[in-house]
Amino acid sequence: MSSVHTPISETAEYLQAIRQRVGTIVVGQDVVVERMLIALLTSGHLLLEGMPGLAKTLLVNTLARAMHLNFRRIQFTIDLLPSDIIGSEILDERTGSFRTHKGPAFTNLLLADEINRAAPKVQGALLEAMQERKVTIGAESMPLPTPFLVIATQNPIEQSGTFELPEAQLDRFMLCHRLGYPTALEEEEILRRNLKLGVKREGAGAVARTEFDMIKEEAIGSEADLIAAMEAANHVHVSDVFLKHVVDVVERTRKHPELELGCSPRAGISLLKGSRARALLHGRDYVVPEDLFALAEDVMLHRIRLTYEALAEGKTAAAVLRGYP
Amino acid sequence: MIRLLLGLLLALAPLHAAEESVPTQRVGQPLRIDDIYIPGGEVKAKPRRDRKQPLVVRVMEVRPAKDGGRYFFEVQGLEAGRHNLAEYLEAPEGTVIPEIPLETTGELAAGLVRPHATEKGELPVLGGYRTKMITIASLWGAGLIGILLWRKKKSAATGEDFASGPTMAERLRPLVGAASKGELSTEERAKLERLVIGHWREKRSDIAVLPPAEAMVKLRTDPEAAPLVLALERWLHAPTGSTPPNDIEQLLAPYA
Repeated sequence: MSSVHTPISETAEYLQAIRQRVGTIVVGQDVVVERMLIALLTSGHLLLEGMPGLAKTLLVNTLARAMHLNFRRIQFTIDLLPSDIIGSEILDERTGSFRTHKGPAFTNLLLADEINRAAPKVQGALLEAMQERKVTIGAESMPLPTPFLVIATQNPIEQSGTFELPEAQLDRFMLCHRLGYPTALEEEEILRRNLKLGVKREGAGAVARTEFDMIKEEAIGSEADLIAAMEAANHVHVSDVFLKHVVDVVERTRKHPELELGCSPRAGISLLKGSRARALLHGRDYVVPEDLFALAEDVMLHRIRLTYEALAEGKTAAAVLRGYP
Repeated sequence: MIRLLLGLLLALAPLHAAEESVPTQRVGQPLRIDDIYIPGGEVKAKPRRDRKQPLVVRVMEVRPAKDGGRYFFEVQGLEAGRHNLAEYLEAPEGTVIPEIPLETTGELAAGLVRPHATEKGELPVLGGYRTKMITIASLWGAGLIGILLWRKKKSAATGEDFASGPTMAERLRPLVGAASKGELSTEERAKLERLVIGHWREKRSDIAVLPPAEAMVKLRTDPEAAPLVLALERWLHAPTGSTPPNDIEQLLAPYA
């Protein structure tokens, strides 16, 4: 595929093939894959909220392999240091000089697992890297690879001993998607696939195979295809009417009596960019209200804050956003 | 002879005086009997045990005197007749209370009309607090039902007024026509789109319960809603702005 002039249908087919590849390994997480692709196509970052064991790591790993991207994972803990993420200068005893050791942030897809377990200083270092797409080690400023996508996860059930991300830092995430449990049929399919995994020989012994062993090594398309898709997403037509809808929706959150904190302009930009990418994923060269509605919750919910009165009445941000009484 | 008459007079005088000195009062009226000497220990009024006792006696004052006391009473007679106050007093053992006569008269003053005897009457069929309350509550309930029925009729009549107004199709026709030609302002186009989406969410409960994104997906595939929704998408959002010659009347048919 060439770059800018790639027909929409070809780009949509390429993206659809990636979704299907991920679907062969991970069952029932198509919406999350769509959100990951939207973040990737628009250079945004994604926050995933969900219970443990929902195959988040497997999902990101599969996507990275399918798209020929580097993948690194950092498990955030209380004793993690900023240098564990961005890297540090190490003294080389042989030469007597410092050499730069690049941290795991130097990758295309970075899975920041349980980001709220780390101290604010570490969170700040990552969020700075996300925003500026470069890191400074010692006196040297180094750009991060492109594309650079952070997929952070938050575990909503284990909040003790965690450092919740403040609103200003949550705003850095383009999308915040809440992962749900698979349906009964999907769960059955997961179990069936697991039964077929078997064992693999390793050295003198053998070990049970996991889903990670099923990930295909060969990528779909090339880096050029991804760049072409990103450019195609950037050329999806946005009508004045759609812009008007976006402005109205964002403005409503700022004037809503039950919201203390409305959406920032960054939310509107994310809504617009995300809608473009979603339109492309659905084979359209123009956005429609469906794109706006589909992404509104993921873009806006983590950016708004309820008033004390609304909280006292037991309301949730999602209910307020959906306009429920 | 004179001596005999004087003797008779002196003998009868105390009798006559005794008859005149009996204090008298009407039933229920207080009677003061003052300065009665009673020898011995202190005398008190007997406590009233029941309502049958014909006198109510109060000892108002006791003044000490030689070997006894001088008493001041207030008495109310409740039954006509001659009474002995001593019977209504109690004294410590060994004390003998002399007779203290008094009379209670039951005669009404002259000229007063006596009330006539009461006759047996019948209780009314409706009466009593409970019956009254039930009646009032029933009347209140009937009034409330009347008001509700009246309002329902009124709203139905208003609905008829609305029904007789322009239909959704009539309201949409000029807007859709202008939108198909690209003659609407951005504000008007945005309003038109919301009007159509809002119409289906109001009209169809299966669409109203869905989250907006899912509702849009359903609208885009719904046989009734899809034609206009998809046409609006083409006219309002597609970059080419090409307007296939759709029959607007056909698009508006589900809104009639």
